[in-house]
Amino acid sequence: MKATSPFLEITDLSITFCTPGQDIPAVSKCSFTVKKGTCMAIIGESGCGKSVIAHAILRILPKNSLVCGTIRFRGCDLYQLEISDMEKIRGSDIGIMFQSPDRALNPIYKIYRQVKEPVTVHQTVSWEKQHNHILSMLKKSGFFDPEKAASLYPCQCSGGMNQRAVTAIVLSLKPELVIADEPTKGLDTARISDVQDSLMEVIHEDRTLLLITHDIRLARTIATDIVVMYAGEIVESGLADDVLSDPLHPYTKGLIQSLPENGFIPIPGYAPPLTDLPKGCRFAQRCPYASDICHIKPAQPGILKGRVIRCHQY
Amino acid sequence: MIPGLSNLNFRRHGYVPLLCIIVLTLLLIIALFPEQIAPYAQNKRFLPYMDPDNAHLLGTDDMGYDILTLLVYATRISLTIGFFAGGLSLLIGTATGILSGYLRGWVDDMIMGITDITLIIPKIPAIILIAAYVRPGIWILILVLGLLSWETTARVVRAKTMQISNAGFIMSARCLGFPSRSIIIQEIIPVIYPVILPKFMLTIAGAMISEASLSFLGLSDPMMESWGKMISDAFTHGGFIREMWWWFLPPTLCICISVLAVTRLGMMYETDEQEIVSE
Amino acid sequence: MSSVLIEGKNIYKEYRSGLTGLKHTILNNCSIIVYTGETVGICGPSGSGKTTLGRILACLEEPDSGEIWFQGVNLTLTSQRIKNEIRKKIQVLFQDPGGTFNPVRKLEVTMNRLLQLPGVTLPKGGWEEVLHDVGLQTEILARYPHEISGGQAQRLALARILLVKPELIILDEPTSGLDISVQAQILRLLKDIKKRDLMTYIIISHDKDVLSFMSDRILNLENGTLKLASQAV
Repeated sequence: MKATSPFLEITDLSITFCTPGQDIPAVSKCSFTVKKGTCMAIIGESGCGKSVIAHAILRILPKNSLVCGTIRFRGCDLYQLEISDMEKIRGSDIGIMFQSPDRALNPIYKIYRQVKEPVTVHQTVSWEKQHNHILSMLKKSGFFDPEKAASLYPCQCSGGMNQRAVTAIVLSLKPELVIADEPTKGLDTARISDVQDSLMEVIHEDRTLLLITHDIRLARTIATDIVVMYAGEIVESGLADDVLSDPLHPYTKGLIQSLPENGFIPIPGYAPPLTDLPKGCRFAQRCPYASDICHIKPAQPGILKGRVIRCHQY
Repeated sequence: MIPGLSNLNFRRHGYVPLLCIIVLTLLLIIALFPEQIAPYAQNKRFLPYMDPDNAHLLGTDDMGYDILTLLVYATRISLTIGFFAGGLSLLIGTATGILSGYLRGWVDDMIMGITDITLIIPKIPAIILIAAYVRPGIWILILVLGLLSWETTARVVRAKTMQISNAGFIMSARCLGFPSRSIIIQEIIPVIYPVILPKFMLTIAGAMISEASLSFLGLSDPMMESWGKMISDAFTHGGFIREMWWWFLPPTLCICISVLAVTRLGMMYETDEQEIVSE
Repeated sequence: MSSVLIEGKNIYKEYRSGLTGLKHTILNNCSIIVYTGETVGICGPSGSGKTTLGRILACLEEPDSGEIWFQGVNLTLTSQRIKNEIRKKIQVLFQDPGGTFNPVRKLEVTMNRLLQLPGVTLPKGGWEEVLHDVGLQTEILARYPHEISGGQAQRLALARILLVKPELIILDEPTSGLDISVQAQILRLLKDIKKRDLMTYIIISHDKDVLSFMSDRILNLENGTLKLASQAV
């Protein structure tokens, strides 16, 4: 690993799902880099391809998908690796937290066993230290009494406790990169703050977090960098504070406007279906600033104020 | 014949289902037109215990009947019992299952009580007992087999109905004021039919096997020439001693093939169901 | 002062856990009054019984004790026939809008089935008019429920409810699981419909921002009873 190479570097990533009827371009030409110890948030509406990127990093996409471009993790191209090497990386180097922890845990095993299993498989710590390692991980994830928590079944725990257990499982392998896929989807306010706490815990120890969410408020609290996606393309990316406080792309502006504190002002219309993308800029139909060129020619990413932005205006 | 065959996808299921359909269609044709297919009339007699030759492809039995002719005519009996008993049990099972899963409360308690009682009745001994009192003709046999095999269908249908009757589309149909009857027929049955169909196929197979076992034990109508009866005859009238495999092997194979074809078709719908769930 | 539309008096509801047989009280002596034309928000964490209360008010579940009065009729005492009549006037917009359509049917089949109900007729403009009101196009009817987005499904569900001409709509987490921009669209749409049809809403949500945007007053569901949390001046 060269000292200069970025931690996670995604270049010109395109992912196409090949179905019998037609090919669906889920992600087109996405490039971004994540620096070590930071939190990168990918935000966008459902169906814009943000989860697909996460699955592509772990190589857990369905078989009918075609991946172009490169994903470099610590300087090595993940798609050049053997499957067996990839299996070692999954979990121990790159961990993933799925949405709804209640369903991510196996209901018939105690928490202890669920934390222990990945530790045993990946041999993160030696046998003698395993027990202490598990307990300390549970404690670190926010259980005051890890001994007791370890002996519970997921159904005996509240949602918040399960959330902490999932965090403990992911962190027990000491991954350097954690991917959180829609961790707050469908949760109520109290649960969201639980999730937020566990995510903060992740970033705490110089780990890198890739947060995939449609929850802008969560992204604002945690993320250092942000990527806004629309219909499979990156429309804007830059530092989180800059992007969210002074959005440049019309879509980002629309998203910020539809937040509750800005009075629920919606963006008109729908995102185009990925099977039938417009010829010009993908946002043109819904864009209040659209001019003729927007409907004809796709916009190319450009750099402005230290941000990447894909719009004809700039 | 079976709804949903039009969207049968051979790329997904392979060609086994097609083979099953061909086998079943052939058997059905044989069952419907035995007069045209059988080489001789049903009651024509020849020399007994003849070995297979060109005139009698499968030889003759102890009474001098042509075994191939017997086999062809037996198809009708076996298939009738299978399909009618399966159909009857499907009807009872689906109706009780949906009612008890949808209405819940005391209806559910009562129906499930009856189902549990039916479930613990040992099938074959019960039928033997019934056979001792009533001379079981084909329709009695269908009735008994049908009445004793609906409970698993009922249980599966009930579980599935309970699961989906809390789903949003049932709730909103209730909310919009659709009557229960309409909800059951229009909303529930189309959704659970991938569960019912494999059950139907398995019950058909089960009924055919039960019939064969009963006939083999000599407990069904002695005038009813089914495949099971043929094996039984071969066993009791010297077919086994004389090692006349052409007498008892063909009906055995017929039972195996038809049961396999029916079960395999049912399994195709089972895998279909699971795919829907995983989506 | 406008008239009382629906009133729940001392509603009590408990659930018995199937395995342990333990009783779990969901609603305890819970009372609510909703006047015609207002929007009442019901707030509470998940598992607090918000949805159960909504279902009881919509006559989808029976309370263990307590009374529901709708326009001066005691629903807990009336015959099933009258109850079915009244039920149509109370409609529910469920969460998970995609699930409110039969998954194995095309949407047009589900929607056309509505017309079999007594008293439901299409306006002159046909489906086009109905769907236009909620911002949809007719081509959506040719699809299956899983082929449309959550926002579209919620709009269609709303169109379906409006056809029955309800007097009260219970919105059960209408935007949970929807994207932020879509949530804004749906909430705006609901507000427009309220203004047009002078509809009464009960909105159930855990999101305080949504509630304060929509409602005239907000009730908090805590330990099975409702308490006034805030009132718009």
